[in-house]
Amino acid sequence: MALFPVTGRYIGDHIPHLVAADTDDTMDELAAMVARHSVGKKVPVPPGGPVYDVYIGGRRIDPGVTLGALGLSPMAWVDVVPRGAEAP
Amino acid sequence: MTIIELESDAALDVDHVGPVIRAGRLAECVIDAVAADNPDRDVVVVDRDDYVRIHTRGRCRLTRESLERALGEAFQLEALEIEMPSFKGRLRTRTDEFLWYLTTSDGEA
Amino acid sequence: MLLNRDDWYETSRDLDWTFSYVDPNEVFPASWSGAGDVPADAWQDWEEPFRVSYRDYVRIQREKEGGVKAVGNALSRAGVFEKLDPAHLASAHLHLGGTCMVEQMAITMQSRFCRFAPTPKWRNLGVFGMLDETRHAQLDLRFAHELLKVDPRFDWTLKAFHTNEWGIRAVKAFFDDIMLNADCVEAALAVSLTVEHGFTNMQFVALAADAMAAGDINWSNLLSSIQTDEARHAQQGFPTLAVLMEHDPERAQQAIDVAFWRSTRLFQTLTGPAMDYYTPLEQRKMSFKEFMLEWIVNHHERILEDYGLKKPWYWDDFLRSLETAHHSMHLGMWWYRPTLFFKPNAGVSPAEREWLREKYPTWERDFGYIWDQIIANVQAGDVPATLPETLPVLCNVTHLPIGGACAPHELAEHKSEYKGKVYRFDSHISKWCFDVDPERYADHPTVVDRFLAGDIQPMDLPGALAWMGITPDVMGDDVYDYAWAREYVNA
Ligand SMILES: [Fe+2]
Ligand SMILES: [Fe+2]
Repeated sequence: MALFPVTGRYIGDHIPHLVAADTDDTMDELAAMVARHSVGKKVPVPPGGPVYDVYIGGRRIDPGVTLGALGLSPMAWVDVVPRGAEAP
Repeated sequence: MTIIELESDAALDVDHVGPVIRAGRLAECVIDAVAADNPDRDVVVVDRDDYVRIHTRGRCRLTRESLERALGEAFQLEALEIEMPSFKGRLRTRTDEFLWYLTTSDGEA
Repeated sequence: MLLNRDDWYETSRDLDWTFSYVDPNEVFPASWSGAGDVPADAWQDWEEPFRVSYRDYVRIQREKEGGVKAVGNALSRAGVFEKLDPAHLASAHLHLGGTCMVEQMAITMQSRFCRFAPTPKWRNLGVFGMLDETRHAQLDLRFAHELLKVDPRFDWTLKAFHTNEWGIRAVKAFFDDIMLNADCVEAALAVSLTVEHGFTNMQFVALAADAMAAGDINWSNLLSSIQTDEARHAQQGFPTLAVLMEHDPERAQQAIDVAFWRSTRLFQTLTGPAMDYYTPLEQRKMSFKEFMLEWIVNHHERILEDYGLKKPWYWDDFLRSLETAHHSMHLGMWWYRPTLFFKPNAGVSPAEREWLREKYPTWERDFGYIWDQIIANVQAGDVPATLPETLPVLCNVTHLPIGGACAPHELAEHKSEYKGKVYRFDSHISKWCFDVDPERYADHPTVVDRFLAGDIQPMDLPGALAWMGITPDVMGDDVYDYAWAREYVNA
C-alpha cells in the first residue's frame, strides 16, 4: 500500500487531472477516482451509469487488477471511458 | 495611385508594408503624405478605430517634406514614433525619409 | 549651419577601440555575447534599421510621457475607472500582474546588450532599450498604484512575481530563460524579434484597441504608448538575424521556432481569454484568431521570411491551435478560478456563445458540451460541482496545463525521458522544444512537480492556494456571479 499519483484523463474532458491513487486500488476504484473530477461536472453522466473501463497505453486493463501490479511509473497516463465504450 | 480604405475586417495582402499609426490627425496626414510619396502605388488604409494601418505594396516611402506639407507645419520624422506603436516591413530611417520595404516582394521594384 | 543627424550619426555610434592589454574574448565572453561561431568582423555589417540619437530620444520620450500623464490626469478626474465593465477589468489585472515585472526583467536584458553585445552599434541602442524598459515598468507601477485605493487586485502588479501563482510561474519560466539567462544573440532572436516584433503587438496594440472600445482610455493609451518604444527597440533583432542568416542560419531558425511556440502558448493564455471572453461582447473588435492572423501571420511572419527564415516546421499545427487552444486555456482558467488573482468572466452567455460559434466553427463541438454541463450544475444550484478538487497536470516546457493546447478530442499523451526522469508536455511541439535542448527545462519543476515532491503542504487544494500566495481579497470567482448561466432557459 503506497500513494501512487497518476495523470487521469476522462475521455471528453479537456484536461487530465492529477489523481492521488494508491497501489492497492483496483482499476474499478481508480476509474471512479478519475471520473470524479469530470463526470457530471464537465461531461455528462454516461447512459449506462457510473461504470468505467481503464485503458493504459491503448490497452484495456482488467477491472480487478491493482495499480501496483502494473509496474507503471508515477504520473503514468491513464484513460477512463464508460464501460463498453470504444477504446480512446 | 488611389487611397483605398479597406473594411475593418478585410484581409490584408501579406506584401503590404508601412506604418501603423494611432488614430488621429497625424494618421490622416501620414495617409496624404504616403500617397504623395508613392505616386506609383495604391495606398491601402485599414482603420481599426484605435490604430490605422497605412500601407503600400512592397515599398513605402514617407518624406519629411510631404508630411510637413500635409500637416502645414514643421515636423521631424523622428517624432513619428510618438504615435507609431507598430509598423510592417524592414525599415530605414533618415532625417528626411523613412522607408519601409521588403526585399522579396514582387511589388518591391 | 547645423549638421543634420545623417551627417554625424555613424561617427557618434562608433565607440569601439582596440584592446591592448586585455584579450577581447575576456571583454566580450561568448557566453554573454552569444557570438558563437560568427566571425568577429561579420558584426561590421550590423546596421540598425531604426536610428536613435540621445538628443532625439530624450525629446521624444519626454513628449510621450507628457501625453500619457495628461490622459491619465484627465480621466482620473472624470471617474472613468468606476464606470468600466467588471469583466474587462480582468484583462488589466492579468496584464499588469503578468507583465510589469517582465518589463523590469527586460531592463536587465537590455543592459546586457549595452555591455556585451558583439558590436558597438548594438551596445549603443541597448542604452535606449534599457531606458525604455525602465519607463514601462515604472508606468505600470504608477498606473496600478493610483488604482490601489479602488481595487486591491492592482497590488499584484508588483506582487505577482513574488508569489508562486501558477500562471505567473509559467510567464516567469519563459522570461527568466530568454531575458535573464540568455546571451545577447539568443535574447535578440527570442525577445527582440519573436516577442517584441511579434507577440506584444497582440497585447499592446490589438487588445489596446479592444480596451479603448471598452472605454478604458487610460490603460489603452498606456499600452500603445509603451508599444511605440517596443516597435523601435525590437528592431535591434533584425540586423542580428541578418548576421546569423549569413553565418549560422540553423541556430537562428531553431531559436526562433522554439521562442515562437512558447510565445504562442503564453499569449493564448494572456491575450486569448482577454479578447474573446473578458472584453464585453459589444466592444470586441475582432476575435483573437483574427488578430493573430493579422499581427502574427500576415505582419510578423512575413518580415522574418524576408530575411530567409522558413515558417516553423509545425506551422499547420500552430494555425490549427488558433481555433482551440485559448478556448481550452480559458475554460481551465475559469474552472480553476480560485487560483487566479482576478475575477474571470465565463463569457458564454447565449449571445456570447453565438459570437463564439460564428468566429470559431468548431467551438460548439469542441467545448459546448462541457459548458452545457457547467450551466446545468449552476442552474441546479450546485456551484461546488463547478469548482476543482485536484490539480491539473502541467507541461514541463510551458508550465501550462496539459490539455490547454488543443481541443478535447485531440488531447494525447506527449512525454520524453531524460536522465531517467519522465517529462510531460502539452503538445508534440513543446516536446520537440524539450528534446532539442533538455538541459534548459529539466531542472525547472512545475507547480505539480513541487506538489508531488512534498514542497506544498498540506497536500490539498487549500494548501496549494496558500503556497501560491492567493489571499481572500484577490481570489478569483465568476465576475457576474453566474448570471450568464441563468440566461439559458431549460438548458
Ligand atoms: Fe517593454
Ligand atoms: Fe521591450
